[in-house]
Amino acid sequence: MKRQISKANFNLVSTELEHYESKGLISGEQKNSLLEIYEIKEGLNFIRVVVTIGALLVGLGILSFIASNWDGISNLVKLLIIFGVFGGVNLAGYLLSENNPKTGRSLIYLGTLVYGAGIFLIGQMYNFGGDFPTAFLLWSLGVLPIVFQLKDKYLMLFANLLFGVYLLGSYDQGFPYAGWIGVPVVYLAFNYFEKSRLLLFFANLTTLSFIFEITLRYEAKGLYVTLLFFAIGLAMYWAKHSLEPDVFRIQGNILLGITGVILTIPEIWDIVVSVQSTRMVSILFALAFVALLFVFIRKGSLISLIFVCITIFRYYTDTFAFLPKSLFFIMGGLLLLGFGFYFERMMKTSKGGTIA
Amino acid sequence: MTKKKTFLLAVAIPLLILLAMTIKPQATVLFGQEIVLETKAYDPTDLFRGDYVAINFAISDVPKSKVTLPIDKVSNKNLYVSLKQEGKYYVVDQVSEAKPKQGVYLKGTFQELYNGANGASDFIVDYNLDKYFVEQGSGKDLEQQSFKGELLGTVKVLGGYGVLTGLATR
Repeated sequence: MKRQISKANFNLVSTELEHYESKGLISGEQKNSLLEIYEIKEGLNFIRVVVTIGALLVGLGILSFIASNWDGISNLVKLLIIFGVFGGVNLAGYLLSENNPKTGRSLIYLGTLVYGAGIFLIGQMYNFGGDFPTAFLLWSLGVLPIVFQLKDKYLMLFANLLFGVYLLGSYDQGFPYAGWIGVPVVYLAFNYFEKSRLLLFFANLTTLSFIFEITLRYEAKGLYVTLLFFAIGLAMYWAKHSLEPDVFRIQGNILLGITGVILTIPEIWDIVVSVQSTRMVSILFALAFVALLFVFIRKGSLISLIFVCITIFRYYTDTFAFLPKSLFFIMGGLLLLGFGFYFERMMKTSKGGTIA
Repeated sequence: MTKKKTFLLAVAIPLLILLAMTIKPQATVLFGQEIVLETKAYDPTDLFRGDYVAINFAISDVPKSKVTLPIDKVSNKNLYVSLKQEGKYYVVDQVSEAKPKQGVYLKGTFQELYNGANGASDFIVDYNLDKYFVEQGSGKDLEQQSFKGELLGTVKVLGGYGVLTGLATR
C-alpha cells in the first residue's frame, strides 16, 4: 500500500527531490520511484461536506420534531413514520451508493439519526423515568453494525461519542457496566479501521471516562482520583510504545496538566494532612509540578508551557494580599531568569547545541 | 454473505433494538394492573425527549418503620415495594428483598434520605416513574394544577415493572 500524505507534504517532498536531482545526488528515475511510494491523502471534499451537513440538519430536525411531542399525530403513527423513514433512507442510501456514493453515504448517516429519534420516541411513549443514559448506549449499539458493514470511520467516531455520553451520563444512574465491553470494542474498531489516529484519540477518552466512572463507583476521594489521573497522564506521556505515541503524548500531557493544576488547590489535600498544612503541601506540589513542566518544555512540549502559564495565573488570582504575592512573583521570576542565563552560558561553553 | 445481505442485517438490527425496547412497556400497558397514585409535580425539559412533567409519587417516600431489613441491605439496592389500596389510592405496604408472591408491587432503587432536624432518616425510592412527557408548552397547566389540588398518576404494573400511563387532577 502507498504511504498517504497530505497534498502540502507531497509538494514539499517533490520539490526537495527535484532539488536533489538538480544537484546530481539522485537520478530522475530514483526521484520518480521515490515519489511513487507516496499517495496524496484525500482531504475534505466539498460535496461530501455539503451532503453530510444536509443529512445532519434533517436528522436534527427529526430529533427535534420528536422532542416537541406534537399531539397532532399519535405516538404509534410517529413510530411507524420513524420505521418508514429509517427503512427509506437506508434503501435510498444503498441504491445511490453505486452512482452517487457521497449522497448515498449521507443518507445512511441520516438513518442513524432517525434511529436515535426512534429511541427517544419510545422513551417518551412509555414515560421512561430517570435521565435515560441507556438511550445513548442503545443508539451507539444500533450504529455499530452499519459502521462495520460500511467500514466508515466517521460513523465509528459517532458511535464512540454516543458511548461516551452513555458513560458520563450514567454519573448518578448506577454503574455503566457496558463499559467493560464497550472499551475493548472502541480499540478493536481502531485496529480495524487502519489505525486511525482520530479513533485512537476518542478511544482513549472513552477509556479515561470509564476509569473515572469506576472511581465514582468505589466512591474514591477527590485527591486519590486526581492523583490517579495525574499518574495516568504521566504514563501516557512517558511510556514507550509503537502505537501512535504522538496521540498518547498529547493526551497524557493535557491530562497531567489539568490534574496537576487541580492538585495545587490546598483544600484537596485535607484528607491526608492536617488543615493547617494543606497550603504548604499544595505549594510544594506546585513547585515540583512546575519543575516537571519545565523538563517537558525542554523536550519541546508547548502544551506544558500553557500549563505553566495557567499555574502562574492561578496563583496570581488566588489571593488579594498583594505584597507577599509581589515578593513571590519577583523572586520566582528572578530565579527563572537566573537559571535561564546559566543554562544559556553552559550550552555555549560546552558547545552542546541547542535547547530544544 | 453478500454485501447486500450484510447491509440488510446492519439496517435490521437497529429496528430490532427499537422493537425490543417496546416489548416490556407495551406488555405492561396491555396486561398490567392499573393503580392510581398521589403525586407532586413540576415542569422541566429534556433535550431529546422534550417537555415533561416531573413527578414525585407519594409512594417514593418510604418511612424507615416500613423497612425491616438491615441498612446495608437497603441503601442503593433494588428492592420490591408491596402496595395496598387505601381508599382510591395505593400506598406502601411493606418492603422485601425477594419478589412478592402476590399483590401489586414495584421494583425500585432505595436511597437514604437524611432529615437533619430529628436525626431520623427515611428512604427515597426511585421507580423510574418520575417523568410524564407532554407536548411542548402544555406542561405548565399540569404544573399549575399540581400546585392547587394534587395530581393523580395512573400506573400500569406488571411483575414489579411500572409504566406511567396518565396524569389527571383529583
